[in-house]
Amino acid sequence: MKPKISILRIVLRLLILALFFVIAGINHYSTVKAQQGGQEVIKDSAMLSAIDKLYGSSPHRPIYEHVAGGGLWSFQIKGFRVSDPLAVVSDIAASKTLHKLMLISLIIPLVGTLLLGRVFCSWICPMGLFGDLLLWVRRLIGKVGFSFFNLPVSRRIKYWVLGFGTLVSLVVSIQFFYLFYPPRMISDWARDGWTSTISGVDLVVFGTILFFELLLCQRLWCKCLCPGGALYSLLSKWRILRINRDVHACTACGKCDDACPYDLEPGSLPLGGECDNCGLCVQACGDDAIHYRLQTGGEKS
Amino acid sequence: MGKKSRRLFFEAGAVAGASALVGGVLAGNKSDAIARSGKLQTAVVRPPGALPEEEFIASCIGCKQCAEVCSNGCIQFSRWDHAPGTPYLKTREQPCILCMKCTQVCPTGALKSVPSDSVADIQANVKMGIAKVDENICNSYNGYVCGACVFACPFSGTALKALVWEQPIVDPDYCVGCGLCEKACIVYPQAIRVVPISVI
Repeated sequence: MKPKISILRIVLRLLILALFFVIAGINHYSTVKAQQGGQEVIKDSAMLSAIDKLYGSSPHRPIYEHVAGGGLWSFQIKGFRVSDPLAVVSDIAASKTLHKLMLISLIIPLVGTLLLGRVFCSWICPMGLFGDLLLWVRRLIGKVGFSFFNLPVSRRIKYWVLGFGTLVSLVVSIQFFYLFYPPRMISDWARDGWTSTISGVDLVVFGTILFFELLLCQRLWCKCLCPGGALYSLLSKWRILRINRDVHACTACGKCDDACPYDLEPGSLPLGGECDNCGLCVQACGDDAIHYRLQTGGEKS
Repeated sequence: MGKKSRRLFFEAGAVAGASALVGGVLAGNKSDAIARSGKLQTAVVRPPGALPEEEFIASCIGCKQCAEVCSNGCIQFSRWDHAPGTPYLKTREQPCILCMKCTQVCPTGALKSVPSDSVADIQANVKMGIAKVDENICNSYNGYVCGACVFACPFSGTALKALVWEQPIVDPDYCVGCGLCEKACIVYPQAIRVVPISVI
């Protein structure tokens, strides 16, 4: 039996969000502990005091080593940094300088995308969770008899969004993508609850994105608008991990075409850079004809 | 000109036009903010080691790691004012204790890395603002000997000197703008305040 890829994806993305929540919590705990001079019980939060009871008291003002921190926009573990390529692009455009640490932090996402394709979009980015949720809501309400639009919005818009945002960052010298990049917002929400309230502006921007996605087109943001997705798409043109269809086993039932959240057609067309290797077509195929394959030298069917 | 290239041309034109529009609006907003920052109310104290205000806003990507590493919990973030997502300090609520951890964790160098928390390194690299004494309301200048700010200052004796009857006097060459004096001041509203370096 094949593993349920759709469930694996949800679990992995939730785990990553939970990881950011826990790391931010540990950092917040050490801050509060240091401020309170190592006293036994921390009272300002139920969760912190629960950690504190586990950990016990220390007689002196404790000094904790900062091991990890950050969110999906940019994080570090023991001084080893990873940043979103979009953050690097926006940083270079706005500051007009190359920061050494940012370039180093680009290595893992860059190599990962060149080899595995847009796996960030399908396996890590929490926006995909909300996209899948909306897809589910669409289907649920669709069963009642209400039909949503699924307009053929052009996939190329996202490249223009990327160019437009870079241009704005260049001209105005601010981090323009910061304002509306959903994975940055969502991972920040996971971290912010410990220290402050969630940013209302982010909520409004995010709500607007979800509203139009529900109204106009399924997976509108990821498929057509996301500048980060555009960047990953450009990088994943020469990826090695690809979706491959076995022509002899295929019965042309069309299940994979229906399953694709980005309205691609794994059954016929070459997928190009748009496919994010989510594996839903692999899961949907009843004839065992679609697989992940490692292949070099472009796309074959 | 083929149909496809014509379409590309129009799309590029539309995008360039839109970015010019948004860019113009944002630039207007920003220059307005800089103009307003001439007033004390809207200028903010940035964390230690910060680049000059313009470069700082351009370089900071808003990853919030500086706040996570701060063991004093003094770094806050602007939401939609100033530049969204950039860190600042409200020295009156929580001043900087000059541990320099935030400068070491910043990935973009918006906060220049200060190698350690030794006095020489801090004096050479940190300039968040300069404290300013309001002699009209300061206790020590008005007949009540106080000296709370002088005792709170980490560079007491150089940055903040006490005259006769503990009257505080700031040496702008040595003051780094950490705000410990402002937090310690027992007068309300504070008689000693940090003026952000961006408006000096």
